Amino acid sequence: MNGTLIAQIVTSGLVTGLIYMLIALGVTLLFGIMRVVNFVHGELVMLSAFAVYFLGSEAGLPFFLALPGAILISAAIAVFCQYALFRPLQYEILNCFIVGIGASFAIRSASWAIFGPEPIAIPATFPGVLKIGGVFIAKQRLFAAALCIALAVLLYLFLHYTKPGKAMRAVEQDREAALLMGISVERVYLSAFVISAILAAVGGAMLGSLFGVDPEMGAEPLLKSFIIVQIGGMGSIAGTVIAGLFIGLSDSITGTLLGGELAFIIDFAILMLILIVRPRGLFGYDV
Amino acid sequence: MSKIFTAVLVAVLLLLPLAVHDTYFLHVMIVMAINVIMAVSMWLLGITGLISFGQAGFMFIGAMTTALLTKNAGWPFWVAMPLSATVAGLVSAPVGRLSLRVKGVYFFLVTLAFGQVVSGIFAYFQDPFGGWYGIRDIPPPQPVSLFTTLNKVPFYYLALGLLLITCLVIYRVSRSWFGNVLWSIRESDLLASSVGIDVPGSKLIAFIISAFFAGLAGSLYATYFGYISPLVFTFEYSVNVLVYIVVGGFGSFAGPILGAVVLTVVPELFRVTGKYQNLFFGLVLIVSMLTMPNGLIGAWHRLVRKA
Amino acid sequence: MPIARRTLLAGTALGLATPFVARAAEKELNIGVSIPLTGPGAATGITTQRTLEHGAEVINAQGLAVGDDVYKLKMTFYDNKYVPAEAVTIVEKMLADGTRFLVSLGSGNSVPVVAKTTAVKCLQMSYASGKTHLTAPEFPLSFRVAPTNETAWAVYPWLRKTFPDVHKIGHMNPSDEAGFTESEDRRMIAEKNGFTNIANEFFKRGAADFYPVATRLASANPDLIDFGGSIGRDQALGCKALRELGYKGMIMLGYSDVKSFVEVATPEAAEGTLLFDTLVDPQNDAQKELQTWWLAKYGPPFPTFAYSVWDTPFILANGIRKAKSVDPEAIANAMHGMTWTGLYGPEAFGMKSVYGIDSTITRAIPMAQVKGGKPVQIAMVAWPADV
Repeated sequence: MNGTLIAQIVTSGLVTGLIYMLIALGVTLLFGIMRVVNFVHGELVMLSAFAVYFLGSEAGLPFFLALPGAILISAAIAVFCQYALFRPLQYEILNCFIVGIGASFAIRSASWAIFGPEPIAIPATFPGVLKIGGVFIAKQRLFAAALCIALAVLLYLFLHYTKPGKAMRAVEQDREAALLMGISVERVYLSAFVISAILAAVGGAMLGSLFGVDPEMGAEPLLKSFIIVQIGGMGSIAGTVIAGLFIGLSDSITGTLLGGELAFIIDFAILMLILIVRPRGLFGYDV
Repeated sequence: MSKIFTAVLVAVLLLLPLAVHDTYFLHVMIVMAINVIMAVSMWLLGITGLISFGQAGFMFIGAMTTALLTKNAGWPFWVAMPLSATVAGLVSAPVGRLSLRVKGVYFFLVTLAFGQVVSGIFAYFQDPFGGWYGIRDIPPPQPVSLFTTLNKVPFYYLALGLLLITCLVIYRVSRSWFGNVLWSIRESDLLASSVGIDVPGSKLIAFIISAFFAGLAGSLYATYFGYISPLVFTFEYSVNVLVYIVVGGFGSFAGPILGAVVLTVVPELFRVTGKYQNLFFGLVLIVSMLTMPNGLIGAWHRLVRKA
Repeated sequence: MPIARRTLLAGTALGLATPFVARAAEKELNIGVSIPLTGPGAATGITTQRTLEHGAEVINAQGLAVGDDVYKLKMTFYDNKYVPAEAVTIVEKMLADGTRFLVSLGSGNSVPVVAKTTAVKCLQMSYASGKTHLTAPEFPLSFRVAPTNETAWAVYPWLRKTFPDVHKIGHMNPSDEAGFTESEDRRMIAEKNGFTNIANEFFKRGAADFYPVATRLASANPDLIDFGGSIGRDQALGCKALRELGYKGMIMLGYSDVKSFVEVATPEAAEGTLLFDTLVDPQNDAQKELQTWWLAKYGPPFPTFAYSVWDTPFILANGIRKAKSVDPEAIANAMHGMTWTGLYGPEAFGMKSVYGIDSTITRAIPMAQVKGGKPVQIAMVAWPADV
């Protein structure tokens, strides 16, 4: 166990953690504001990745055009789900959970049928590997990390310094009070879906460029997102960021030192521990 | 009225193998029985207002106990089976105690985590839990000459017997004074405790009973399939069980049973369509959630009222 | 609650009636095919389906005569989603329908059902790693129609001769049935051929981030890493991660859809990868014909796994003709040690010295290597005579 190995583990872990954090931010937004557990989020990640692939590799658009295209598609699907599935059920937790699972199964299955099972990959926008003091970092990973950080910061600024953002936080804290203050709760809900869709799209594009694209790719990030959101605390950006990094690091450390399968168990064991010791997570609001 | 219906139904189920010899059909009935046991046990938690995604975990514990006792230690199934259910129940006590400290959505996630941890532990340790390989060649119940690979009928009766016992117990519990306590907790924790009900204690008991029967289902699974692995007792399976309850309807005991029956049959119908199986299952879910929020039972009630 | 009870009765009646509807009665020679059509391994599954369909077509066109009867092969495909419980249910359904021939893909799906198929006297042909769980004297009706871990018997001696600088071997396998079998066998065979095994890693099938596993392997720094039972995306991501982490040694893998592998791993990372049991260019007319047919019907790319699958129905037909019967037991007896000319030239069911029964296919093992982003054939390794 030498310094280089440790540095490598830490760097790898932080970078992966950031991508999962981004996807988890989408989950925490919906969770926090509407108490909706959006199972379709994982499929948004997956569909966005496919969108970037087709717009990029097939239609020949450069990445910086393909990505916004995928974002549009993702947002459209998210809003469709909101109005077709979640709103008719009045955003009731359990029912939304179940309908979300149904939609997720259906979308995944349809994707298998349409896209076929051959794994494909989004070509890296920044190919090549950097070597810094014995530690290898693929340039694409750095790019992904930078993008995730940028979006997280943007999200934070949006929520704290813009009117619609503040409206969102108001609804999250107290829906009735927000209504009384004249905030359009429906508009806030819509924005929440759109923003989470954007985050999912970018996350999907990054995952697709690093790990390939296939119809199953959304499942693991979604599960990890739930863990991250719980550990960090519902509705807390800072919490999700820290928890995301923590999970990334934890996965990297346990994966490298103990083997990949254990990493998943440990994630969940940590979750259970946190929920028992501090159910609201690191920074969440009291239940 | 309902007693007559139940009696007729049970009689039909008892006499079924005499009329039907199709082994695939019996196989589906046995799988259905396992699913109904799981659904009904989870329903008991549901009337307490709790949704647990750890049911597959307890089922796995029950299955693993049976596997290890019958295969490695050579114990007879008839001893291993109640023991397996008991072990699942025992494990559920501390797990329940810890998990019940959190509410609602958080509880979902703790139970989900628990299910994954159980799977993960069994998957990681090849010895003695079989790892991802799983454990195969789990012996059938004694007398082995009766429970052969080819003859499904004894297994059918075993499954039916366990099913009837489970249904009887859960039904009785749900109708008893304790059952009313559980319903009242679902309505309102606060109110229930204000009239002196031991809310945490009652929840824990429901949790344990539920885990006990999940373990029983697991035991049956192990001895019938003869093969268990972490790929079987997944989060997806827990979700399936939940869906049986939701689609069938929460409000009455018949709901989870109906849900389990219908949703065991539907995938079998679509089996040959291969890759579209999940698609239909997903769509069935969406449609039933959107059009029948109270499940099939609720839809029936609405229909009957209109007429 | 009379209403609820009535509903319950109706529901149960529905449940009771449906399995009758779900089956259909057939009179041809029924073959059940249990393959993953969704989930991991679906690519291989779909290739298998298409190839077997065509093979059956060709055989039916030729006509399969047994005495005075002419049989038509009828294949029914089931999606086992790579989940053992599904595989078991599929077999139950098949057996209840009277089907007595099973083709099964994936050891996770083949191993749990072999005891049943043997008991019911159903002939099982598997593409799977399995060793004694699948190939043993106690399973006389179980045949392995694709060499998996066995390829190592041919490949490692060839490695020894062709790459004399390679001494230390690392292994990377999925942590499941197939993976464990491959790892065990390959390490044993490597040692037999004078190599040293210095690393043996497992990953969770379908994992996305291979950095942890790759970091461990790279730090052990073997001369060659054998990906063993890894398939699909796992291979590509493993290779990519290893290269990104600075691993400069050789990588060897099989069961690959090379185009997808190169694309997902990136051509730079994939360069130089050895591909075992991978046929790139048709070496003879039969292979050429298969490739041409596929390209005409499905368009590029042509998955080379199809070569491994093609022979199966023909092997069965051969066995039927040799046994002059459609009884699975008789056919099985005829097939032990049977030899024939297949897609790879002379082939046979053998390996009695290893498994105690000759029911595993033995044939030439083609070796290829990724050069310039494309697979290039570099050798056809003959099956060692002493195995």
